[in-house]
Amino acid sequence: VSAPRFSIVTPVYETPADVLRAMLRSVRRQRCGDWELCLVDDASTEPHVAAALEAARRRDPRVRLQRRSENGGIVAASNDALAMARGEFVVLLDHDDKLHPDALALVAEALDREPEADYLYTDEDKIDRRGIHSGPFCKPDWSPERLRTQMYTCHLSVLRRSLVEEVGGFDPEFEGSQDWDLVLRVTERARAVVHVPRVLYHWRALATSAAGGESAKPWAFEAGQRAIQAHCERIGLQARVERDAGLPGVYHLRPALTREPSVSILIPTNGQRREIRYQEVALVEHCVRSIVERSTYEDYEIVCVADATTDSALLADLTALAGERLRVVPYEREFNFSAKVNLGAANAKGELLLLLNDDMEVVTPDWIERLVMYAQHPGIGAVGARLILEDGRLQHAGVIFENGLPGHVHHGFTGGFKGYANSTHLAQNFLAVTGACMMTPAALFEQAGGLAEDLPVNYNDVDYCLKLRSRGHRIVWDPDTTLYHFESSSRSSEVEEWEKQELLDRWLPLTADDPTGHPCLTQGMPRLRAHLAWAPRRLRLPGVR
Amino acid sequence: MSLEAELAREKAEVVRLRNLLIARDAELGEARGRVAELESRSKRLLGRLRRIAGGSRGPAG
Repeated sequence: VSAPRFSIVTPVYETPADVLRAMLRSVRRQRCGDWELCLVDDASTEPHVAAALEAARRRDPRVRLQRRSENGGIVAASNDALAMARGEFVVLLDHDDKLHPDALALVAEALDREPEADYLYTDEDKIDRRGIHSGPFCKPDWSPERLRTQMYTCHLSVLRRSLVEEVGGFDPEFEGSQDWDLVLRVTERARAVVHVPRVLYHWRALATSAAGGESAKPWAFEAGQRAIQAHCERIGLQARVERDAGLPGVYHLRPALTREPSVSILIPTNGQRREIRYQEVALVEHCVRSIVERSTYEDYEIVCVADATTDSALLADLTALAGERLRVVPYEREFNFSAKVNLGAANAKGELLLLLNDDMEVVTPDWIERLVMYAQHPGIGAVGARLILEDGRLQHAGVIFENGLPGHVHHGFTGGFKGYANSTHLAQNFLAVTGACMMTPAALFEQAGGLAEDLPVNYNDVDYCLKLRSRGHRIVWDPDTTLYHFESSSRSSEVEEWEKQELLDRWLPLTADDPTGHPCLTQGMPRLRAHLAWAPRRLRLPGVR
Repeated sequence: MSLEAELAREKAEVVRLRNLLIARDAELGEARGRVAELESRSKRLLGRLRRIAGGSRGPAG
């Protein structure tokens, strides 16, 4: 008997009869038939369980069944099921959930397109006991940073079996979050991770399942914290993991730096004055004061690139504020934001560059540590921050592209806006972040040729991020680094048509279909038409009846 | 009252009034933010209504 492509792995324990039947039926009805179902009954005492499983086995030879002599818990039963698996890929299916009929077929199609995929995940929704669907979760494409703050890939997860065996299967130390731990360990070694943007898994929201909230399985959330911590230690990410105080399933990384590289903060300025909180201030002075007074990081310098016309008394004030940390680099040419930043970078000594507009104010004391935590990690090209307007509304929570053009997601929404699936509380990857506050390694900045000077006003930051992204580096947005951005105090926020066209000409193949968004989302929120798309019986897919 | 004391009193009053304005701005910011959130949602709802009225059963997903 040749091995099937997919081994569906399902530990079973005291599953309600109707729910168990629905799970089994959903497997039998798969459009793709290249599967085996590895069931392990974890010593259920309810007689209907053994009867239903046995009936399923008799009905279809692809259903394989083992029964444990004593109850061992989810991890032991899952590992037993893994040991039965013969397929190329392991498909994780909980005993009370359901697969969409096209689940395996669409995963198989994705595998045909990306044969190196070692881990695949799909979108999901919830179903209640009556089978009513709700809460579709339309996920972004692979976002390693997000997976460290939320188990967003969750269901349906499909893993290459050889890799699962290589990492040792499920670890009992993380019982309750064993799936998350396994996915973290597999993705650390995966050649490619693929997202199938369809709701192909229906998660049963019973009172006792984790889908029912934190109170259902509190230990699971604690195990999740430990799983991320162990993952950070394995990959050398210098972070301590904390649980969100109010949002179950949301975690935060705090810097635990073992090395503090030198940082050069580059601030282009023309010395403009503006009213902030009903007091006129010189923006750059206000900005530098907040850096000096609030930052807890030690090894930083401030490179202020100042127009030749900048008031010398202001520059003297800056020196008085920041002392030897500050260096002023005079800028003699006509206005070109990119050229000013590039000039600053050429004069910077730091290992990491921190691009900062002069109309900013630091809020988070360990803001530099936070950005360093990400920026010095391999694979990361740039890190951006959560920026808020003077009145507390969101100014920047990442950049998303629609029709190839960038926009700040949730711009102008309340500061406490949670976003879709708590997105504004999660570290995550975007194609770009704003250069108003962006850290990037100096070496990468140089390799990429710095900011494009033929984009003197707008999009030079986005263009830079896209250059990094096209070279395989990730762009990260950190929700826990907050600064005020007294937006566009120094220049017009209007974008010229030629600038849009230039960006489209350069990057449309990369930005036309933003992988950090989703076809069912617009501006980071569900298009309501997605509600039609997620209902399984109405799902219309290419090649699907 | 000495001039210094008068000056200090006025300064304190300015600070008090500024703080009042800042607090009011934060309140207004909250309201503006909610308006933006609701308008964004309404726009998406309207799109759905139009599609329903037009007889569309939804996209391919």
